[in-house]
Amino acid sequence: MDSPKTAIGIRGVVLLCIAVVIFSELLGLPLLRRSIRPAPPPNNFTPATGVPSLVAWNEATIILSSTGNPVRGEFISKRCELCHGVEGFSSRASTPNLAGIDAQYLWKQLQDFRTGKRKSVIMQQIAGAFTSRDAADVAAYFAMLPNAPDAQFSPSFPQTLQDHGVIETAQRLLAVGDPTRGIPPCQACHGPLGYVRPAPSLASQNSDYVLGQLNDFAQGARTNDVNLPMRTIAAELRPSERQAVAEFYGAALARFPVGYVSQ
Amino acid sequence: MRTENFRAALVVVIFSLVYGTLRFSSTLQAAHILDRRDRVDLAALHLHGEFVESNLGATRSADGPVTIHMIAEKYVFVPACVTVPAGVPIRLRITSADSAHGFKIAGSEVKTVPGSVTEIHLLFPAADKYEFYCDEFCGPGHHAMMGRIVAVPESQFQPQNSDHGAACGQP
Repeated sequence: MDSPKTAIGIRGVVLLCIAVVIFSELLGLPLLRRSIRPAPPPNNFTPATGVPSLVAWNEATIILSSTGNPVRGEFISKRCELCHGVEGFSSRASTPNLAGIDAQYLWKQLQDFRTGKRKSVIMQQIAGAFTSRDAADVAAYFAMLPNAPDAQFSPSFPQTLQDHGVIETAQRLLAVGDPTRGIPPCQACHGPLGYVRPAPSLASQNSDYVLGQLNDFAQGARTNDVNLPMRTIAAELRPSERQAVAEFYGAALARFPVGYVSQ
Repeated sequence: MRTENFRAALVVVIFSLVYGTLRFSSTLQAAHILDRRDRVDLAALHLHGEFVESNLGATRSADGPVTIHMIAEKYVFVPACVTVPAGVPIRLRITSADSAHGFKIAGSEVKTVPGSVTEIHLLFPAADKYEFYCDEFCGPGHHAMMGRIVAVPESQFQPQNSDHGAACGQP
């Protein structure tokens, strides 16, 4: 017994609502389909002058840089031994350790040396003799090495900490950064808490090298960080903070997430 | 039985009202980030397009409007410090280099996702320092992802790219 006020009835209202939902779905579909169509590739592709790096992380470069042949890389790596050490641990603190380094990071640096986007008299010549595949193989080899130094090759890592006062500053910067100045924690990208392509792990990196790179980023001497993350962050770090962070890394104190283990 | 039927119908009605509103507004009113005109090549942001290094920061075209180009990435805004003129409408074009990020400044906030450009129009009423934050959780460094916009009197405004925070008095 329907009341005269509800002319279309409850069933009618329900059907109307379902119709509205279906209609709005159908309305949305063509709009969404139109908008997710990929953009046409640029037909006038010329890299702008002053680009930080010619490496673009697309499917091809990611596959190439992460599928190197470490056995072939070991042969090529003989020409790295003089400076970077026998098993990737250098005997000079100003030369980077390559043992256990991220393969994509190392491949990108070698590409940047080849194309002159990262400046180094020696490395531009050595990497200039590599092909892209050579660089991937060398990167695969160094990425495979254990990141703990072997004392028989007299590595400079780890250095002993001269001033224990830097520990507190460095721990703060590694664990929380400085949110009031927009400095993110180092370990969010450089491990072991988190990684961002292609940020290298710094757990076994030499202090002099880290300090030198931070200064170069801050002063604009090194410009091959794509989209400027490190130039932005290093410029906001005070010189004393760069020193503290570099010494902390160089003393092998950052092998575990800072703030999760007691010192 | 009649009451149950009525309640069931009420549930359907309320559900479809809420759902329809969401669907309508997301499809027709707010889905600007999916617009085809505003897509960018994520892998080659630094190689070509409007987000190359030399184009980041505040620029002023000949006929007056000020545009800020900005990249949000893990875990910084680039440039982290931008100088703009006060009292002038500003167009901020922001894109993300890796994951979803937020851009929250004073009462406005907008999301940005990789591969497309989000545009927001801002007006800074007075010469002052304005801080902005990422308000979309993006990873272990999210809490420190912030930057500053320094509004200066229009006569003092110099269009510039990233000045490494000198205008913000850093370090």
